[in-house]
Amino acid sequence: MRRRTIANIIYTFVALLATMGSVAPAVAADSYAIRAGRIYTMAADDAWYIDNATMLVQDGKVVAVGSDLKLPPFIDVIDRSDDVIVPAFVLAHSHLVPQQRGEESVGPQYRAVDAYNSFADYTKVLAGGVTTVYLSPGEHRLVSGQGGVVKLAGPRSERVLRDAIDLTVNLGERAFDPPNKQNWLIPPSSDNDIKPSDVQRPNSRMGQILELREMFDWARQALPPNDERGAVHAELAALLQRKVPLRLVADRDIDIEQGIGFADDQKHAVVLVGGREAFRQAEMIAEYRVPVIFQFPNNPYRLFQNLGGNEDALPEALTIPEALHDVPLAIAPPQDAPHRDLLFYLGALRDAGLSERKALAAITSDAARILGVAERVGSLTQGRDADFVILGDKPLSPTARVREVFVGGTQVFGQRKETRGGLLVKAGHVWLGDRWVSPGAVYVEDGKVVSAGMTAAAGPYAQVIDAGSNAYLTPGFIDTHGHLGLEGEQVAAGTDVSIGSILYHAGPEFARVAEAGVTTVMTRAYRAGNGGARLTAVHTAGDTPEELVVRETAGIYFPLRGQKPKDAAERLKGQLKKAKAYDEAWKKYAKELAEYQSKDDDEKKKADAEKKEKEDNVVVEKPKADDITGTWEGEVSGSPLPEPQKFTAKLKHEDGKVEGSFATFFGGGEEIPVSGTYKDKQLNITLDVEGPMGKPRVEATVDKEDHIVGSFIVGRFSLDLEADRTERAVPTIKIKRRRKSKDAEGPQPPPKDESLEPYRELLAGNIAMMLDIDDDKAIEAVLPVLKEEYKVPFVLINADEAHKIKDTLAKHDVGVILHTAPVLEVDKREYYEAAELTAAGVDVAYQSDAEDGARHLPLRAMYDTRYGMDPTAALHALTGNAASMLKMDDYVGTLKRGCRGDLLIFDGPPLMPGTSLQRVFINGEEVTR
Amino acid sequence: MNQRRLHRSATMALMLSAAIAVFVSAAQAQTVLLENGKIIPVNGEPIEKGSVLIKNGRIEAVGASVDAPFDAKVIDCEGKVIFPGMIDAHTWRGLDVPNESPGVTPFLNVYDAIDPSQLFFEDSLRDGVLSIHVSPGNNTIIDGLTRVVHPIGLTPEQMTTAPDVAMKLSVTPKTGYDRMRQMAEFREAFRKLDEEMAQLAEKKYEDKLREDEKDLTVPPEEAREKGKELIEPKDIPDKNRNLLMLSQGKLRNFVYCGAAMDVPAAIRTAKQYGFFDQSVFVLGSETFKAIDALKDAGRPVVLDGNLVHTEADALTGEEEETFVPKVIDDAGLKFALQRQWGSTLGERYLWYQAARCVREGISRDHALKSITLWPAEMLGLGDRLGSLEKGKDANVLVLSGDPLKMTTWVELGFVQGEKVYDKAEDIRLNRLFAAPEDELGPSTAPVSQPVEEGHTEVHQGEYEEPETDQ
Repeated sequence: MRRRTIANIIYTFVALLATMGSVAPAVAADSYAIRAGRIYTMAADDAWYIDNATMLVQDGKVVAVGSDLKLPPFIDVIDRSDDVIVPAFVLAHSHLVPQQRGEESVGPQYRAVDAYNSFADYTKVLAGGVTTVYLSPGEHRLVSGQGGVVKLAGPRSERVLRDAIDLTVNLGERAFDPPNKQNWLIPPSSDNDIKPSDVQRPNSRMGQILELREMFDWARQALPPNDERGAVHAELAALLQRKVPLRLVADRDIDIEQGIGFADDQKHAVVLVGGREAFRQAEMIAEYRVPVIFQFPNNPYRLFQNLGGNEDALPEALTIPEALHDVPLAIAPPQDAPHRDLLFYLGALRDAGLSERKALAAITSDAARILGVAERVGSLTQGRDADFVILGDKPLSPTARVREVFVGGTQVFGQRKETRGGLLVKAGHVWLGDRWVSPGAVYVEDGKVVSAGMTAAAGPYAQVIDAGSNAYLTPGFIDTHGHLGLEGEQVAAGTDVSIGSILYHAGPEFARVAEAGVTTVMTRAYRAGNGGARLTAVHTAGDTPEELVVRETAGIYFPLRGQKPKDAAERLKGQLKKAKAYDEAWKKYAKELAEYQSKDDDEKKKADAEKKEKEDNVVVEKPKADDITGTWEGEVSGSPLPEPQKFTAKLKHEDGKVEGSFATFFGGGEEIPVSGTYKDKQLNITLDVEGPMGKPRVEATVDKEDHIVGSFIVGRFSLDLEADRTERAVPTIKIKRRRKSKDAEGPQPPPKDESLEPYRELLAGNIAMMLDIDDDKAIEAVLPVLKEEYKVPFVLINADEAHKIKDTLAKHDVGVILHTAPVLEVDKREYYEAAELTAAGVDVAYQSDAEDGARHLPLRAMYDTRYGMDPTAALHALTGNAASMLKMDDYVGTLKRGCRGDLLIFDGPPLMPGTSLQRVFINGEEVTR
Repeated sequence: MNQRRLHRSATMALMLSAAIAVFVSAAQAQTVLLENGKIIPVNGEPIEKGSVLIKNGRIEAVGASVDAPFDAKVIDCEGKVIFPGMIDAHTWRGLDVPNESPGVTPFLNVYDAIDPSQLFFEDSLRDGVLSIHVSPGNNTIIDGLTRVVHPIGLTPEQMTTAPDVAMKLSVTPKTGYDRMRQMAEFREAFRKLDEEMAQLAEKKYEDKLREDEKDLTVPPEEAREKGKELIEPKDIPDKNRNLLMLSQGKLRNFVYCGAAMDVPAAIRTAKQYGFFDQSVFVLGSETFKAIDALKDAGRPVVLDGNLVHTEADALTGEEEETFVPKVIDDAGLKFALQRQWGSTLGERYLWYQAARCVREGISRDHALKSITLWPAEMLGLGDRLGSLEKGKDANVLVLSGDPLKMTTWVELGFVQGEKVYDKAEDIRLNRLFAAPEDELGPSTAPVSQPVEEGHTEVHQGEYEEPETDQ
């Protein structure tokens, strides 16, 4: 059974090649095509998005986008067919550079681009899909300077798209009370003395327009010589000359009105930023066609801030009245919020009533138009920069995540592979295993279902597959009884043999079954043993044994075919009795073992406590003037020892009695307890160890201080012994207590019987028994045995006469696995088993009793629906029912959390003519077809 | 070193300057022959056993055998190394404070702020740094003129090697400024210069017309244009003189770029206002990221004393270290090393910095040049300093061993032919290394002392009053 056929090897090789092919190709900047499920071009015409589109990129520019592009030969094609491409996002207003630190209330000379750091790491912003950013010089002075537009990635020398494009005018409280301005007159002298610092305007709304008007008028006049405000004058005059647009940063309606009015007076174009109360001036804004860059009113990082009793508090929600739907709109984060949340703000724009197109334009094409960079970015049409974002889903979907970001055709951000994780599949209809939800979604991570339902939470880098509203998604189908993996091997095998343990590789027959939508097969040996056979649940695809084998012991097949009712019941009883006895022996052992261990633990604790007490109360014994007490080190030598052996003795002497330990060659260096006497300089001790020649002894004399000499006597051998005392302190003696052999102590496990092992699972209710039984009387006879006596889960298989007792079966919730043939003839009556049993309320499931024959299971179910079976019941039989009957519903057959991620996507209602199976996922991995 | 500490040590420094004064007065411009030493001339191959003749403050001859005049004082350098005096390419040390408060002060000159009594100079002398480019600090926009001094002398005049060498600028924002304001100040300074020069031209032309008793009603544009040629150097106000020279490309300039993003800005600014061809960029350690821009510019650079740039990856948090001089050297740029202050490690010594470069794979030739010849060239003093060549200033060191070896000491130092340092007479060193009297006898400088340890101790930031055994 373990042999690998050449075909298998070739198959594996081909499968390997196929996997390699699906790895993303190296993304080259010069020329390639990229394919996506949908490309939002944001073109001005109706084709603002194209489904199943391909985009041709050359030298960092978009060459063409279309669904039926003719590609040049040999071009690299990046396949992102499950993904969505949108133009890279344009942030129309940002605080990416710190605000300028000048003191002037009117400081037109500051340029935000001066503070742009092209060497900084913008990964976090890029990760939000934002690649083009407007840089604001600040929002804290009446006139804070000139803005610019930069890219956050790409060649450094080409990052600045536009510099000095506008003059930022900030109206309202934010610009009030500027600091006093210091004038450094250098060098000070008698005719050039230091003046006190200047007080600056504005301090109120009256002052702001006055100051603006004065400054503008002043800038139009020639400057008197030696005016220290030369810089301001020169810059402002140049800007007025160029008629740059004014970037009006204002939230209050009064400021908006004043600002637009002022710009109109001065004949300058104006762009409104902020605009929390823009809805109150909607008519005016629409009349002047002022583009608006709304600042999102809430910082997502600091949502929960109290407004208190302030009646003038600004509105909290983004409000965009109808009148503004035609002016160019964009959105920007609030001042202290991160710059990467544009996809999130997109939802707010939708909430504010914008169409999907207008909302997406607010972060792409319209934003680019407002900034005057629409010729470069914001849309994906011919000639534009190939700056785009690959999303996992349509931009407005909450599951849309930025997966890759490209600037100038080059990838500048890609999600980290290790976190890519899960698979989110959305479909118009999802069969959860027991009911439909429409629409529905399933999220699978690490091969297991994490959530399923109307919506499903997805991990940050989930691959999103939107199968479409017409698609139907079901769990993978189950063949409740087959022989997949045996490769025709007809040997008999009992319950002791696990098919799972010998499965190591999925051959082509597996693939055939998988491609038909059957993802799990309960496989068993062709011929069962006396005690039945073990069923193993295997997956029809998987690279490792862990992926292939869903459950090694997934059921017990027990044949009672052709038996008389009494015999059948007796045989079943006998088997179950045997199993029960075996199980109980093990339970008893487990119980005893637990008790024994806890007792052992108690004793140990007690001993520890005693020891601790002893240690706590220990009196440090002072070394006495004692000849023996202490640690001795010496040698034993003489025939028959080949060479002298060292020993260490720790001895304690009290009133002529000696105790302690002796560690030497004898006993492998362990400390052996000794006891003996000491009298008149004569030491006699015996080692407490059993040897073939009796206990060894030491007889020695203390010939001088700290020195003994004598003999070590083992049986008839007397060896010379000599030792010195190296330590006089009372020694601590560590004698390893010799434990009796573990075998002799504590409860003993009963002998293991592999053939009865599956029954323990059965008795515990974890798996079901599959009874192959035909006679209705026999079924009635075994029912009480299983239901009442042993209370084990079971199903019937090949139950020829089940229809006769279908009500009993329905009443007792007994499931039936249908015959392989749809039409049975019993007592000369022909009947359709599936239709008849399901109509009576009996749960059924399908079997193939074959290997790759299992691929026709869905066809068989379709046949049954032709002859009266409810299609939903048929689907149930292939999924949820099959799983729950066999106690497998925590693993397969449903989309409960924790189940294997086996999914089927159909383009129509499953098991219906004309519907075809589109995609198959096993363990969350697509089965390559 | 902060200002307070400077002042505290000043008293002591005055005391010690007496010791220096002794060196100075004892030294006489005489003819000296350093013979039998290993000569490392920097600009050529080392001579294993050779001599250097010093005469009239200049190097008269270098070679394996040199004919010495009869009156030459002969110093036997057997086993020693003869090396040009090292050059500190850029430091604000020696000044009382690094920068003035206002940012645009092109009329300043470090001459007014050099404090000859600073221990910094004595330390430099001991460490073999015989030329120091004293420049305003980096906390500025357009600062004043710099000066190259030798660390010996009682007044800035005595110390001066070359006056008004360069102007100091910084693209990196000064304290309290940001980059927008910094750049706006640059634009304003040069705009103002243009404006004032135009006004001056107009005035000069009108004066001329008045003198010639001609009709005064000329359009201002014409007057400004025609008056340009009438401006004489004496007419230019002091305030603008240096800046004008800078904008005319006549003044060497050291531009500080603290961060990588400052490099393109510095190059752009220098080109825009016409001083790029005279620019030397003083780099912070992160600027190696802008190596492409630096390479394109091709200007010499002064590197930060911190030779290693450490940065954590934004996503993984892994720290990555870059040895900056290697990046610069690989780009083919000429660079000068700076000393790293406030460190207790060897970064305070130029030779240590150079030795690290060699360890990190830079050639020995480049490492040695980065502390001698290259800084001399950057300062426009390549014909006077930086190598042992005939005709150059006799700024010569006699070292106890190889210049890149940690255990090497400066034995003798000559500045413009005068012996200004002798280790045997270095009071402070001798006191520090005085061996216990009962073992070796009084005031011997024992060779067997653990040199590294002792050496480090001398220079630990704080200067303590030496203990006197009264």
